[in-house]
Formats: sequence, C-alpha cells, structure tokens
Amino acid sequence: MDGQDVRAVHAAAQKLVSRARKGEGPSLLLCNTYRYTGHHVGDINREYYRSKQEEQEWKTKRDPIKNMGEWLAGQKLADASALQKIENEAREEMKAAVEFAIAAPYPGVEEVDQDVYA
Amino acid sequence: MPETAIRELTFAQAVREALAEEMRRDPRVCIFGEDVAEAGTPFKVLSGLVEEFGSERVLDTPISEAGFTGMGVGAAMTGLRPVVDIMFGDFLTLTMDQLVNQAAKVHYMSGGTWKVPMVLRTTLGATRRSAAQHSQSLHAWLCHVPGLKVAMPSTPYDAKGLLKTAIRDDNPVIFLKTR
Repeated sequence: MDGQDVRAVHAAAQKLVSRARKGEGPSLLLCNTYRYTGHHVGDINREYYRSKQEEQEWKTKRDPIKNMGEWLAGQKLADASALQKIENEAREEMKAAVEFAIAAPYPGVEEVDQDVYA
Repeated sequence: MPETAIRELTFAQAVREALAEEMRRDPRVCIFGEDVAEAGTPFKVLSGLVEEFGSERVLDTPISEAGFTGMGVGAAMTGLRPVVDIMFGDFLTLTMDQLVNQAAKVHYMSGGTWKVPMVLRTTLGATRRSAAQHSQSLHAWLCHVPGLKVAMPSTPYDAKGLLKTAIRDDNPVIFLKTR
C-alpha cells in the first residue's frame, strides 16, 4: 500500500493488529515509502541511481507529514500555528538529543562487556 | 549404609533424560528441529519425548535451519525456553545470522532488556567419515562470538548436568556433542 498515506496505514495497521490480538495470527503489511537522503552520509550524489527531480517530487508532493497536516487543516482539525508548534517542538527535541549525544563522554572501558551476557 | 546406585548411561540417554526432566519441570521448555518428533532424530537421541510431551512441545520443522533457529530466537525472546536441534553441526553455517547477529547481540543491543534463553543442540566433529559437509570441527568459530555460551561435555554425566544448566541459563547456549 501507499506508505506515505498516514491515515490509510493507520487504518490498515489497526485492522491487522486487532486481528493479531484476537489470536488470528500475524500479517504482513507492505508499505511503499521513500528514503529522502542517501544510504549513508557519503551517498551525496545519487543521480546515478535516481534523479533529483524524483526526490523533489516525493518531498514536496508525497511527504506523509506534510500531507497529513494539509488534511488536518482542510478538515479544520488543526490550524497552521498548531502544526507549526508541533514541528518546532519536534525539531527542538531532536536538536537537544544531538547536543546531548555530542556532549556525552565516551563510555569507560569497564562498560566493554556490559549487557553482553544476561 | 545405604548403597549408592550407580547407573551406566550412554551419552544419548543422558541427553534424553536431561531434556525430559527439564520439560517435566518447566512447561516453557520445548524442542524444535528436523525429525525430532516421531523419528526422535536420526540418532534416536530424542526417542519417546514426543509421546510424553506432545507435538506442540516437540515440533518437527521444515528443512530450513535459518528459519527454525530464528523461530527459536523469537520464541526465547517472548517467553519460551526452546532447545533448537541442528541435526549436523555443519549446518550451523545456515544459522549464523540468527545466532551471531540476532541471538548473541540482542541483550547487548537492547541495553539488557531482551534475553534469549535458547539452547542450540548439535553434534560436531570429524571421525564419523560422513563426507565433507558432515565432518567438520567448527567448535572454535562459536567460541569467538561474544554473547554466546558454548558447552561441550566429555562424559554422559557432564552432558546431563550441562544440558540442564544450559536450559536454565538466560543466554543463548550452544550445546555440542562430539559425533
């Protein structure tokens, strides 16, 4: 299914989760999605396997967060300032997490075998 | 003076007794593998277990070592204590991702949250002249994987005790028997 469609994924997942909880077994939900950046930090020039135009289209026309926001605004369930606030909070949280990780000390040698065995 | 009853057991009898006693003690203990149920393995080590414990706890699997070893890892992570039976240790090559990348690492990678109390029971070693793909001595490979424990008893007495200890251990344990 279209993995960029938040509402469709949610509806399908709910159905399958409830099926699993009833003991009717596992399901496989195939969600087609897109990786905006490279496979790794050095994968910068990706034009040998996909065009910049294709990437742009996924980011501008098929972004799940953007599309969900537009749907919420269209249904008058959230206004632009509420959506902006959510985005700002998420960005702040990620920024703080990165800063925390960069500032954290390297683990001590005594941690080398921590949690290797139960 | 009470006489101490001395029993003489083969390796196979010791292994079967250890499994049967652990399965009676703990309903979470189960066995997966190729020809483990009615056949009792080609070596008859598990004869009688499916009759006592049923085919839900002594489960014949399709011929896919990677598949049923992965099933064992998942079952161990979610509450069972499986003993995965690999008929010939040479087929450990097929299970290496499940053993090395999954079972051995998930405790570490989850910060000690997940445990894999699984035993993988197999036979290894040359000398039976079972041709090139059934005669290897790969023991050292396993000893190089942090997160796995390796047990290799040299007597039936040790085999019974070590297998019971392995089943009760919260880590993935490879239990090797010489062919």
